[in-house]
Amino acid sequence: MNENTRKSLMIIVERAVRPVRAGEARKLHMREELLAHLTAIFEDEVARCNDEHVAMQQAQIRFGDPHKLAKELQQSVPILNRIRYLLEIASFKPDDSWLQLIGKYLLGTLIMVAILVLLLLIGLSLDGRSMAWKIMAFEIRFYILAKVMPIIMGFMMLGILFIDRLRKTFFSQGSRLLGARAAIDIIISFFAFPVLAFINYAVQTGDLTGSLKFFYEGCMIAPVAPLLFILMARQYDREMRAQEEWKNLEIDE
Amino acid sequence: MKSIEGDKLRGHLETLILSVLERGDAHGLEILRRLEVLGCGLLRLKEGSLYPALYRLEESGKIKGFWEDEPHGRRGARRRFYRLTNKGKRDLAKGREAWQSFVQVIGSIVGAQT
Repeated sequence: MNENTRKSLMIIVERAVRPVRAGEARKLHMREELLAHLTAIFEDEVARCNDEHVAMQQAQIRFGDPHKLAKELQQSVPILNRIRYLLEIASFKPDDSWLQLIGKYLLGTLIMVAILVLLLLIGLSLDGRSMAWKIMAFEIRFYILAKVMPIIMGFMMLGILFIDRLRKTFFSQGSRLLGARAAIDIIISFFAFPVLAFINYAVQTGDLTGSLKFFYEGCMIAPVAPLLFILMARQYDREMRAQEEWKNLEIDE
Repeated sequence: MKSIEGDKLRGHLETLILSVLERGDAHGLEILRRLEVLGCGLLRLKEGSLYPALYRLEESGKIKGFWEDEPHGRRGARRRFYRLTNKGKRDLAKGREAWQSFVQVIGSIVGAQT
């Protein structure tokens, strides 16, 4: 089977799968399975009529209307996977514009704080101690949450951007591995954990000297951090490659 | 005999799949082939429609899916095989019972000649 035929079969599959609101992993699973099936029926038809054009039409008829199939596939997506789909939309992506990243950062921080405050209120309401104690406990915890959550969200955003940078440095097809860039990335990976630990504690307490202890502790895992980051970048690269081939298909009829 | 189209199979497709998988593990196309043979070529199903039913069955734990290790032939895409679970076997037994009583009741009404 030549590449054009494979692309044509992929387009038929993609027409059914792209509109489905489900997590990317689930959609990839659908794509691969449906493509294997459609390829098999196409080969069946080629063996029968010995004409690829007619075989393609017959395979399409046997496969069914992609729009109808998309609706049926959507109904088979469980509620947790639909939530995952929403989370994937809201999560940071390397190709987001700065405006999108800032919007997602603010919204994500707000939602996380709101959820944690709600859980905190529920927890305190179940506690048998006095109201004065509850108010004080809430204030302290809220203060910590309001400080910590923006930092965590910031780390998440920077983490994704950095993993994407590593992916481009070490795994990008066609691009030469640039020694200086790779060296800088490894140095950043090496210091990432100590610096983040230092910043996190310093922002929470304002105690720079005390925060140095966390910097030193972060240094203990620093030697393995570059390897860890590169492995994550490799995994991310595999996922991106698998998705990109499908996402680049033009499926308009 | 007239063929049975996909819409008429709605509601029965999942039990049909379970009973086909009772004969052994199979991938989507093999399930359809078995359905075709067992239905004497009279079951007409749009082949893509099989998969949403398989996903629902897998989600509810009645079947378990697993990928083949290597892509089949030169196709480049792996096939996914399905196996009936114990829950699926119990559900199939219930489905058979329900089908028997459905045929008995409806058959006695529709099939009765006046």
